[in-house]
Amino acid sequence: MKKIIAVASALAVLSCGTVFAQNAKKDDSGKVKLEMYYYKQENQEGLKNIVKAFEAENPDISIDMLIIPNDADAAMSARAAQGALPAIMQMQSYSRVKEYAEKGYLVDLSKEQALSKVVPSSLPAVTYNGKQYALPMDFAGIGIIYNKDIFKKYHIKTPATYRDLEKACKTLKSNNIVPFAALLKENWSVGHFITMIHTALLQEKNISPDKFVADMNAGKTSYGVVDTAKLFKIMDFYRANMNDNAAEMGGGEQQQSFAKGESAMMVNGLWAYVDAKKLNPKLNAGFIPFPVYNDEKLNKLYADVDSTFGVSSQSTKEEQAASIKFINWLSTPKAQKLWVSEYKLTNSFKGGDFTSLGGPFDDLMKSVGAKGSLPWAFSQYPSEVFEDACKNGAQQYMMKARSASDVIKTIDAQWQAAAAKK
Amino acid sequence: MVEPKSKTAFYFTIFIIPCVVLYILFFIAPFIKGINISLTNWDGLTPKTPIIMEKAQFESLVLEKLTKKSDRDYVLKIYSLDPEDNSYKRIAVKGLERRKLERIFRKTKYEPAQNKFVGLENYKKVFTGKVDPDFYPRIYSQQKYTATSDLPSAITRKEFEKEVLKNCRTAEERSIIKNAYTFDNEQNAYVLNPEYDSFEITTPLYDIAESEHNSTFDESSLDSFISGVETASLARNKDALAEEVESFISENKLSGESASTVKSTAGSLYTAGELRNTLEKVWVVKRMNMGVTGFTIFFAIFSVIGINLLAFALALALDTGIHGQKVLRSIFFLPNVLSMVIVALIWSLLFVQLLPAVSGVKEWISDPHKTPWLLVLVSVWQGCGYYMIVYLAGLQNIPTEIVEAAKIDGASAVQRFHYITMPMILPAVTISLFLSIANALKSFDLIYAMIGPTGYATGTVPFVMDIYFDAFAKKQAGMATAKAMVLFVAIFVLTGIQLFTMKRKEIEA
Repeated sequence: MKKIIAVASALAVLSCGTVFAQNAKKDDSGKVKLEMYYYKQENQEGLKNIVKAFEAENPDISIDMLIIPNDADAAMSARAAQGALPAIMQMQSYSRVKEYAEKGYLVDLSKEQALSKVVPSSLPAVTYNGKQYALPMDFAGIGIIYNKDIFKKYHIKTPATYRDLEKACKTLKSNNIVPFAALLKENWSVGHFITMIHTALLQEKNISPDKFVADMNAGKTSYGVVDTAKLFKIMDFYRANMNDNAAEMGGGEQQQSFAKGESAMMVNGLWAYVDAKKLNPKLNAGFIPFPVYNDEKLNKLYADVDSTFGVSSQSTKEEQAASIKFINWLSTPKAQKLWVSEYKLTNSFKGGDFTSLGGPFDDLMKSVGAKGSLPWAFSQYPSEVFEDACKNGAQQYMMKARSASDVIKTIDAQWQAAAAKK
Repeated sequence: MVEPKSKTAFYFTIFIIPCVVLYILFFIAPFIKGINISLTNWDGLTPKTPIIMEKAQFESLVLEKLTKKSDRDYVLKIYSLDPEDNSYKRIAVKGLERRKLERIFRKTKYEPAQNKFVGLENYKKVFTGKVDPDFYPRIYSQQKYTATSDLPSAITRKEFEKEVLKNCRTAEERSIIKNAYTFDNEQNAYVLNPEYDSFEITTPLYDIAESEHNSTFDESSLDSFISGVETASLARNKDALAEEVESFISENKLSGESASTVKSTAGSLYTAGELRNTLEKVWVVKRMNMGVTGFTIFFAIFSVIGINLLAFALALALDTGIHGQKVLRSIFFLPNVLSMVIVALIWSLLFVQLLPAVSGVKEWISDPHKTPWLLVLVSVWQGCGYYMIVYLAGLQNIPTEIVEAAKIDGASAVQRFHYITMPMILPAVTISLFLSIANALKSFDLIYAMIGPTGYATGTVPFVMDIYFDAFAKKQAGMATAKAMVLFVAIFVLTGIQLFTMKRKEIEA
C-alpha cells in the first residue's frame, strides 16, 4: 500500500511539473493580461504612467511591463524563438520592424484608426511590402545637447559649423571643462555617431541615403564611398575631446558628467535630455545638429522616427484585440497629450503640440523645420550590420583596437553577407 | 546487504526514476535540440514552421507534399486562411503541438532559407579559423595616429618616450618630433607647440581683410583651399602647394598683405604635414589581443588558481579556532551571496570613481593592460567564499588523532602541514578545482556587466559572451550553438581529465 502511494505521489509531482512547463495564461478574474516590452531606459516612469492611464480607462485589460535596455534585440529574439513574444512591443523603427514583419511576427495595423492619424512622412518607418506593421511614435533627433549656461559663461558661440565646434572645444579645454561627456562604453552610442557622420558626408557626394542603402544591398557600392579620411578625422576629434576614461563611461556616468557641469556637451538623442534634467532641474540646454561641414546649410539634424509600437501576431485573439485597443488608444487626444506631458517625447500624430517640452525640443522642431533633417539611415541597414559591424567596429576603432580600413571592410563584408541571405 | 531486495527496488523507483526522467527532460532533450540547431544556419529569429505564407506557395510546398490525410488536417487546423491577403497564418504553438507540427513539416522537406540544415559547416568554421579574427589570439599593429586626423594636442609622457621616440629609426625623425612637442610639467605630458596646430595655423586665414566683403570668399572656398594645401603637404608635393596658393590668391584678388598671410599659412601647414607623416609612421604599437579563446583560457587559469589559493588560505586561517571565527567565516562568504550584477556594479564604481581619485591613475578597467587582471581579481573576490567552505569541510575531516600523534612525535607545524594536511585535503581540492574550472570557463554575467562589448577592444571577451553576441547581435544562432557544443566538450574533457588524475591520488584516513 505504502509503495503504491509513494510511487503515485512521485508521478504526480512529475506530471505537475510538466503541466507548469506548458504554462497557460488563463486568468481567472476574466481580465486580459498583456505583456508590454519596452527598451527605452530613459524616463521609464513616464511610460508607466501612460500605461496606468490606459488601464484606468480599460479595467478589463491589465498590462505587465518588461524592460531590457541596451540588448533589446537579444531578449526579443529569444522570446520569438520560444513563441512567447510579448503582446505589445516597443521596437526600433525601420529594419527592426521590417525584420519581424518579414518573418510574420507582427500584426498588420494598416487599417487601424491610429495609423490614419499619423503624419504621412512617418509611415516609411513602419512599412513593409506596402503595409504598416507598427505605430510610429516618437520623432527623435541625435545631435549635440549643450549646456547654454557654460557656453554663455565663456562667451562661446553656438557651433553652427565644424570650425565653430573646434573653437568651442579649444576654449572649453583651456578652461578645464571637458567638451563632450563620453558614452564610449555603450556601443550603440558610437554606432549612432559613425552612421550620423557617414550619412551627413553622403551629402557632399550627392548620394541620397535611400540610394546608398539600395546600392549597398545590390552590392554596387562600399561603405567607404564617402570621404573616409574626413569621417575618421571627425571620430578622432570626438574622441580627443571626451573625458580621459571615456571607455568606462556608461549612460549614468554621461548624464552625471553633463548634468553636474563637468562637461559642456553630450552627443546623444534628445531622449537623454530628460534624465539629465531630472539630475539637474536648473539645466539650461539647447540642441543642435553635430556640425560636420563648414557650410551651415549642410549641417542638418539627424532626426527620424525612433520608437514604434508593434503587436505580436503570436498571441491569442483576445490578446491581439486588447493590444490593438491600446494602439488605438494612443492616438486619442487625451493619450497624445499624456505622451508629451508624461513621457516627454514628441509623437508622430498630425497636429502634435510639443511646445510644453520646451528648450531643446523647440530647437529640434525649429531646426528640422528650417533646414530639414537627415533620415536615420542606420535603421535601414540590415540589422546585423548595424548591431555588429557598425556598433562594435566603431567602438573598437575609438578604443584603437581596429584600424579605419578594417572597420569599413568589415561593414562591407557583413552587409554583403546579409544581402545575400535575402 | 541486510535489506531485502524488494526494498532496494522500491528506493530505486521512488528516487532514481523521477530523477532520470527530469534529467532526460531538462538536460538530454535540450542538449539534443542544441546539437540539431548547431547543424543549421539558424539566425535566431526565423521559425522552422512559417508563421505566414502565401496561399499558392503554401499549397505547393506544404500541403501537396503531405501524403497522409491526418497530417494535412492537422496542419489546416493550426493554419487559417486569411482571405484579405490570401495567405495562411498561424499563431504561436507550444510544447507537444509544436513538436508534432515540426515533425509533419519535416516530411514536406520544406526549410526556410535562414533555418536550414548545413551539417558540420559551423564546426568546420570554428576549427579551421574561418570565424571572426577576434576569436583567436593574434598580434596586431595598433595605429595610434592617422595623418589625415588632427595632431594630438598632448601625448602622455609614457607614450611619448616609450612608444613614439623609441620607434624613431633616424635622428631626423626624432628631431622632427622633438621640435614639435614640449614637455609640460603640470600635465605630465608632452604638449603640441602651437605652430603645428592646424587650428592655430589657419586662424589668420579667417581674419584677413577680404573675408569681410569679397563675394567669392566664402566658407567652402576657404575649406577647399585648406584641404587642398593639407593634401599637398601630406603628399610632400611642393608644386601642387604653390598652385593652390596662387589660384586662391588670384581667384579672390587678395592684396599684398593678405597674400603673404596665405603664403605663410600654407608654409606652416606644409611643415606640419611632415610632422604628421612622421608621427603616423612612427607611432605604431604592436599589441597582442588574447582573443576569445586566449582570454577564456587565461581567465580560467588565473581565476582558478587565485580562488583556490585564497580559499585554502582562508580555510586554514579560519580553522585555527581564533575568536570570532564563525563571524569571520560568514563575512568572507558574503560576496558569494551577491548576484554577479551587483558585484559588477560595486567594482565598477570602485574602478571608475574611487581608484582614479585615490591613485591618480585615470584609467583602470578600460586600460587593456589592466583589464584582464582586474576581471580575475573581481572573480576571485566573489568566488573564494564558496570554496573556503569546501576547504573548511575538508580540513575538519582530518582526524585529530593523527594530528595529535604527529604532534607527540615532535613534528613541526610545517611538517604536519606537508605530510598530513596536504594529502588529506586532496578530495576537497579535487572538488574545488572541478567546480571552479567549470565555472570559470562558463563565466559571462560578471564580465558582461562590467565591460560589455568593449571587451572586444580590450581583448577580454570570454567564450560565452562571444556566443551571446554571435547569437543576438550577429544573428548567427546556429554558429553560436555550435560554439556552445564545442565549449561543452572542452569542459567535459578538461574536468574529466582533472577528476581522473586527482581521484587516483586521493587517500582515505
